[in-house]
Amino acid sequence: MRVASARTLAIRTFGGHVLVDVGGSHADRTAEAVRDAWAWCLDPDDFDHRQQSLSSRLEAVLDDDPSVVAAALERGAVAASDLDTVLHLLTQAITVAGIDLQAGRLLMLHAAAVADRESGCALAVVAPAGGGKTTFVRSLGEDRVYVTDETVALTGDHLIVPYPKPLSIHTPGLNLKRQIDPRRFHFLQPGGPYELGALWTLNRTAYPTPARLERIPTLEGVTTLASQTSYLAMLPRPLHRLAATIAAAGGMYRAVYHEANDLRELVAQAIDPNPSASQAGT
Amino acid sequence: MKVRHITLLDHLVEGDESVVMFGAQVVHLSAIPTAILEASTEWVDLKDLAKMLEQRFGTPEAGVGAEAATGRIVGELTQLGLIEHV
Repeated sequence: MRVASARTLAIRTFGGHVLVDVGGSHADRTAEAVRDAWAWCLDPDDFDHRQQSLSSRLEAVLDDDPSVVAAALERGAVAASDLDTVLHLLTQAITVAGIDLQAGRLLMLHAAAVADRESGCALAVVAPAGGGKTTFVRSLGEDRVYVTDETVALTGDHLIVPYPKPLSIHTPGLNLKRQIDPRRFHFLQPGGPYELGALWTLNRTAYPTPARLERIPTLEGVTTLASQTSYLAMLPRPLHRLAATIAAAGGMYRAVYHEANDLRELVAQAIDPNPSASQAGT
Repeated sequence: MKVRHITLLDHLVEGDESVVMFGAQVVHLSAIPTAILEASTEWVDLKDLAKMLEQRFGTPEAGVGAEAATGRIVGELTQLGLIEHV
């Protein structure tokens, strides 16, 4: 029996599933916009989520009537009277729901990642909100696999479960981020999972400087990752898990740079199977 | 006075230093606090703790006895919520 419908969308998060019931006077328009933005995360229409233990449900409402919006908010829905706000809030809600589903199971870093399709290796870049993760993906993800711009979810074997959500891009003058369909960029759609090949933090300088990587000592790296991890305390031996993740990636590095494109060569060296060949092509 | 550390979620030691997780806090500890934590899994007398630290790290700065120096660091760890005392 089909569970998903024109107004119930099934979103695949990192190993979990979130059903989104779309309502309001503009439900069809909203549903279409969500389908486009989340194209790489949609479950098939005939996927039966009732058989899945890791699933949850959200409601999204776009309506011109403030009382309809207020009632929807009252019952816990994502609701607003403009589409951009609904999409912005819905992305946050889906991501939070996905994280909640995997609490105590996956190691979930506040990070972006791109991967090389041939090598199967991914580079994860950890940064707080506004720290340059999405810009990094936009600038350096061309012709690479787009893994995520928000949550790097790692299994116990240090494999990244892709979460190719819409890119959340700040819009000047607006207090929200527009949610952009990843198909609009020259990314490769993920299959996955992907091996964690490199782990960086992003340190953008205010002044031009040659891009470089600085090795971060393990204990400092663990402390940094801990501040950018969801539900860390629910994992067994959480600090040891972080240390093992750093070791699996061959160490943790601080990427010091001025513009994201300055990191192009370093990214190629980190994950491309033939870095010199890929550099020759740029 | 006897001291011991609280229940830890995790304690990762590398060399002389460590990172400890308790509650929602993650704290990077230098060598002496790390040694205090390692020695205080069970109740330990402050005097014995001070002797151990002096043997391992040498005499504290001039004018400060080992027990007083240890007591000061234990006080800081107590304020953090890592150590309890009786």
